Amino acid sequence: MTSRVALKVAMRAAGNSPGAAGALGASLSGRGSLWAPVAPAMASVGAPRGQSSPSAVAVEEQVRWVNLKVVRERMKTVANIGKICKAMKLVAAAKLRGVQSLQEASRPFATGLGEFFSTMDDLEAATTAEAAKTDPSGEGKKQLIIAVTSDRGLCGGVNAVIVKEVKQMMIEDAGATPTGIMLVGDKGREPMRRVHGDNIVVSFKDVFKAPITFPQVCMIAEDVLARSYTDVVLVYNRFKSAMEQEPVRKPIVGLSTVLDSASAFDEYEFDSDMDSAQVFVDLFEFQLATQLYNALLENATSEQAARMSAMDNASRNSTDMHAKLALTANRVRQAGITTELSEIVAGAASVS
Amino acid sequence: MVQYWRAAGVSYLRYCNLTADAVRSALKEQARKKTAAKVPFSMTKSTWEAGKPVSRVQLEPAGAEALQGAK
Repeated sequence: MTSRVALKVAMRAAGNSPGAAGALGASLSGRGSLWAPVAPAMASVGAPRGQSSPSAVAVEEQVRWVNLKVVRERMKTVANIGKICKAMKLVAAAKLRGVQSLQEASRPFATGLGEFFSTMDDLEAATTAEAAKTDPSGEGKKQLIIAVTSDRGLCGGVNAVIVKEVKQMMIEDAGATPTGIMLVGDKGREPMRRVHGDNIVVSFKDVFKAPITFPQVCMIAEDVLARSYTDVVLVYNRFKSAMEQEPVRKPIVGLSTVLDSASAFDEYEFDSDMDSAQVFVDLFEFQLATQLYNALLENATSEQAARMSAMDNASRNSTDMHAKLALTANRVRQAGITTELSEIVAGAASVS
Repeated sequence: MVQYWRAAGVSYLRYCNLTADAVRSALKEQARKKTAAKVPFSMTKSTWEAGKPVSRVQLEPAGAEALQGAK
């Protein structure tokens, strides 16, 4: 309560120099600190010595008396926040190690299958050109975008970039293809609902609560397979390093494309009465599940890495803020002592 | 000629997960406990229509492994 009063009074006092207070506040909140609205008020109390009008000074002095307790309280809060952020960073670092090993193990499967199917794509490119001539509208194409986000926040920008990427895809498409959006992870829900709510077909929650397993991903993949989409695009954060995560769009070669290239396997013998088309259906299902598994793991790793770096920044910011508040508190305390002394001296002088 | 699992109405994914469960159930006690600990998950699937979630389903691991994990 008192902090809000102090904020309002300080803002009125800083009416002369909103620029200075704003600039100082901006520099304090440079790396995305949690306390941006408070900082300008504190800054305006301590910094501008150039306040000329006596009324402003009087108001500031009043504010100084109120503020010492508030500043000390704020220092305690900021120190607590710093401790929490440091703890979260350590937890994220531990989880990162775990998920990263899973993700590294899954990468060879994803790249291997991806390369295999990309050759299918090349074969298909030749035949699609022909097909496109006869059917230029590309009708019957239905696209599913699988947007992978995290369940929890405080992980930097990983979710925002995915939402941005999906929005960009929708803009590029400009409504040409009927598109469905599948959301894996809770954080994508609100932003997507606001803009493309009508396109969302299904959303999954609590996917990342326990370490992801392949059977779990198979359930999601079966949901995708049950819907009749011709193209599937995975949008997720690729984990490049603990510092770098980038959003990536991974198209999954559609079943029809794969089956059209089924003739590639005709040179090989299959045992029993199996034919290549049947094998391709199985392979396609497996590819979908593997790519999805890899995408979820990469996103989970990116999430932990981003959270680690975000919490690191936050704890560093809180240490900086604590130091600045300590300076302010000392200044306020000393000003109070000076005022008291001058009152005593003035009183003694008037008596003698 | 269709694969026998597809003829039985099971997708390849479910088929390979069932066979993986069967392999895992052949593990010795020590290793089986370790793998059983990794099995449980619980996610929520919501189907959306016209911008609103309309139904919600809780998905849990299906199959024999789940029962073994529960023990």
